Amino acid sequence: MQFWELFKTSWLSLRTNPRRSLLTIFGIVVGIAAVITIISLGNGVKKKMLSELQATSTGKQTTEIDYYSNNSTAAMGFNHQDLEKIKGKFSKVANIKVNNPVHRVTTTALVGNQAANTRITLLKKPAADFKLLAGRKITADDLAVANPVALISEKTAKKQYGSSSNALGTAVEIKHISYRVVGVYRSNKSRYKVSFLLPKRVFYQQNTLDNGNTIKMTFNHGANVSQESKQVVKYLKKHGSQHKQGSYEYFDIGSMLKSVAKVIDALTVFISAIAGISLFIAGIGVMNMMYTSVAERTQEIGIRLAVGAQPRTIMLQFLLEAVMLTVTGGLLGFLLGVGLAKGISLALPFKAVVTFSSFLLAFGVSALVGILFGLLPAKQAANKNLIDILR
Amino acid sequence: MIKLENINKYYQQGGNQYHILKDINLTIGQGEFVSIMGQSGAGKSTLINIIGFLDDQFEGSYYYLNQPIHDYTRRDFSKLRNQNVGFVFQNFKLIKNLTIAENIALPLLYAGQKRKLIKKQIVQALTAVGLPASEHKKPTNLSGGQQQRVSIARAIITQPKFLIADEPTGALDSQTSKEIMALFKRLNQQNNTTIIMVTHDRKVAAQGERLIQILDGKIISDEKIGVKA
Repeated sequence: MQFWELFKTSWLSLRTNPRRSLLTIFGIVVGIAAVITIISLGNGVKKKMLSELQATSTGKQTTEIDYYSNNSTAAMGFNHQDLEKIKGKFSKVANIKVNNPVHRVTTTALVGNQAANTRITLLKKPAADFKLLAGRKITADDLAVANPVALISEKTAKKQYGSSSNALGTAVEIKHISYRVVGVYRSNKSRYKVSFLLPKRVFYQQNTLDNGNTIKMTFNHGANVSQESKQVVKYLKKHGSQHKQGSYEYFDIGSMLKSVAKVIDALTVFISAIAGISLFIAGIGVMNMMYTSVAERTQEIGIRLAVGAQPRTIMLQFLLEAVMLTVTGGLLGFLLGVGLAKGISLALPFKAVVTFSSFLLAFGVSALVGILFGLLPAKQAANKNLIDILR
Repeated sequence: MIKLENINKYYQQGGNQYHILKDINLTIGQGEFVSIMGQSGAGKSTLINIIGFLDDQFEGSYYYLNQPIHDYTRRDFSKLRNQNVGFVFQNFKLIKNLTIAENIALPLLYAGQKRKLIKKQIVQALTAVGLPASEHKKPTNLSGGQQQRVSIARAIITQPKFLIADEPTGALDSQTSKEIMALFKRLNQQNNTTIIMVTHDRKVAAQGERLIQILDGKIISDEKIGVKA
């Protein structure tokens, strides 16, 4: 029999018992929908995570290189020449700048006449999330004009000057700059558990803008970021301005991202496998239905064989019936799963991602389930003894 | 056309083995109308199942158009059935879920034809058996006699060399039986189709031109009856 005619034969057979066919399909729909929902959500989490950790808003990727000094000299790991050298040497680096993420430094401060190691927090913006006990805060104007003013913590003030009010108007010298104490504060926040708060611009004033211990590189599209970064580090270790006093280190975010992605993938597969159990049960439902169908249609099988159907054709007919059921279920399940995932992701901070490969997965798995669980009943149908049936 | 030599057939039932056909030798020529009679269990049906290529488990030699059928595989048997034989059964053996047209189309579909291209043949076959314009009915909506006509239409649609009829009138009243037998006769005479028919009914058997009687797996008589008109 021609395949298309065989296909129609199977279709007609399924239609004669629509309720049973639909119930069997329903099982597959649930199984596939569960798997697709989880995979779509898993892909969504992964995409969200990768995009947040890695690329800039324009899709370019960035990495950072840190310099660690061997001794406590104040020299910064990167200077203007270093940046120029890197720019000239590595064409894939689109932009490079010094990052000073250092908000807290420990340095020597001259309070009164005593020099002591002091912890300092640097302010980039006016801060207000602490309690002011005396004097005033550091204002936006102070920051804008790089006014050398400082806030002193209540603890330090009491220790050095006896009381909060005594500290007001005193001077503190840090890195050869004299700051006037304009206020006393108290806070439990860890970033304020220091002796002084200083405007960042003033603190870094003596250093040119290109000096720092961290650089941030932005790469052109398509660059192998981790490879390029490694080469920059290698270059710096030989030619960097401070390569004798410390080491340049590159933290490979790319490889970390890869392992994060791997973990998410593994989780997705694991949960999908659990959802897949329902698919297995649905498959057994298909098998059950096909066995019943074969038993019920013994006469039909006999007649078909008698008028010249090959046993193989009979087998194919029943196999096709099973596969048509499961594939229909698979496609409906895919649609339901996509709908569910999109619906659920409305309530979540990321979007479900449906890929063509999940479509192929739904299609392939459902077809496979049909073949797997339809094969035995179909074989049984094909191998029936013709004489026994017709007697 | 059909030549059986020393056919033996055994049935295994429970622990016992039954010798159902014993050394059958039989030759049937093109265009013959053969009636086979015998008691229940005598082996009539077993014999025509072998003749009609339904049963490939037998001992002995079967030459069909000088081909050694006894050497064929199950696959070959399917093909032989499809292209050479038409079957008419006592209880019609129509598929209830399918329409009349679809039932009749079955042998052609298994011969590799397309549904769209065989509508005309189906109409012709239905007209030949006296049931025009009933393609879209279901078998359950027809009387016994009409169903048997449908099954005859299905049997002749591939224009087979011979028809096997197993008690074709067994489930029909005498008036309908007469009509069906008249139809068989017409097919035999007009198309020169060989017909091999098993029956209990002596009157029905008398419609043929050759009568074979079987008892306990042996042919006990083989005689010409009637005259070809």
